[in-house]
Amino acid sequence: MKRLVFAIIIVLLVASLPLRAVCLALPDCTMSKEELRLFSQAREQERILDESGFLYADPGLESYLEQVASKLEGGGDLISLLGPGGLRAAISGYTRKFEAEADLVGLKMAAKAGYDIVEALRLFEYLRKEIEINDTREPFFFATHPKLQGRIENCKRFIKNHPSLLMSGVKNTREFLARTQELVLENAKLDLKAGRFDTARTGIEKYLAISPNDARAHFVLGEIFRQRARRGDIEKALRSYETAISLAPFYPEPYEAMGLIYYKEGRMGLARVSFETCLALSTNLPDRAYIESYVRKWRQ
Amino acid sequence: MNKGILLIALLLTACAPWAQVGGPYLSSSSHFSIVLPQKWMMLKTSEYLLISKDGPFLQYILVQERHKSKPFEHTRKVLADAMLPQEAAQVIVDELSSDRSLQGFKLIQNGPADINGHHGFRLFFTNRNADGVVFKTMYYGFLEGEWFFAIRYTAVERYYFQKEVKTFEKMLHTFNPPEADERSIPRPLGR
Repeated sequence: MKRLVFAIIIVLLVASLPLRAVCLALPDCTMSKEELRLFSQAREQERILDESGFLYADPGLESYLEQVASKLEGGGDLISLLGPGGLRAAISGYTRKFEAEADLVGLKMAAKAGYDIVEALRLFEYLRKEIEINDTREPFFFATHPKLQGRIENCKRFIKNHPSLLMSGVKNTREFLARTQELVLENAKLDLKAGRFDTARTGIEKYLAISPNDARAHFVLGEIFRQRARRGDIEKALRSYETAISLAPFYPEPYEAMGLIYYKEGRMGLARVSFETCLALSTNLPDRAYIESYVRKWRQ
Repeated sequence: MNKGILLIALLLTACAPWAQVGGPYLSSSSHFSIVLPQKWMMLKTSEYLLISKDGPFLQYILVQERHKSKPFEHTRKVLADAMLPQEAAQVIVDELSSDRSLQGFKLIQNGPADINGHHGFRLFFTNRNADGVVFKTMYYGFLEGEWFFAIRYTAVERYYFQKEVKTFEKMLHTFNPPEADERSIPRPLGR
């Protein structure tokens, strides 16, 4: 009887926790929600480095971390998968010394394969710039690694001390950009969704350097300006939409976006023309219901 | 000793977070009024209004009020002054679609809506949980002055969504934010 009552008390205590409580306040586990987010972010960045050959890959640990990442994505129970000790091991996997060595091994391998190893520094520069622009902390997973600047210095020193490896290696810049340009455009759209306007703009400008006559990119650039809405952005947005229209006159989205700007500015004549044009150009606009409601008001 | 333990158990039951509700509801902390359906259970929290009939893991209605300057979790976009309902809807869609924990997010409908005389938007979307169960959500939102109000109905697509959707629509049309002069009183961020 005593045991039953005690069990009921424990059940009531647990049930009274707020629905949103993250039950990580378990003994020996101090990973907060923020740390879990950083851990996921670090996994993404680790994947970039891994695929470029600049990360020492311990196959056993790699597979272990893949399981962890998929469990995180699936909303699974991290604690039951890892246990407190396993969690610590997963986070603090690499040591500083091995990581520095791994970078240099990767550079040697790249040079041996005929690639221009000076290009390797760009990867770290991109990471550093992204951290600065987005004002993020260095990914949690890097907390036990040499800081990013340290890795950049390490690679620079290696390149300086091995001039024999500095042949006119293959860069494949044009081919690489041609094959990845759609990815650059899609990535810019995702950055826009996430409100990372400056990163999105960098991505779109990179895309436009490859494909300057792509109306979609000019439209996305216009959206970046319109949604960012800093001083002078609306004029820039209108110019980008006009460029998109000049490249693709039957592209409906720029008309819709221009219509929104004119509508909010009270320039109803221009707004109406823009909205009616975009409705005429497309039957399956995602925001069609809104545009029709604006036009209906004028017709009434 | 036995009586003492039973008493503790009874007291704990009294502190349970759910309470049966029904009828007009006015939250003094949230400053909006709405008529709640009869015999639904409400979660006692001052952060938002959450009610459910069959259990929150099967279906719930959630009413939230947030100051427009409060940052979102998954997007850096913000709700700005003089935003059209279409623009506010886009921010909410971007917030939802950027949330990695919301699996299989699929926007089915996005359009203007009238919420008891307030010009807003309506989103209709589905997502699934880790077990593959599909949830449907009807999400209404509108900006009123400094505040953004959201009223949503989420339920398991199979059987549960249709079961109480009419109840939700009836409840929706009783929603009233505070009057303009009350809204101008500064309130803590996040309310």
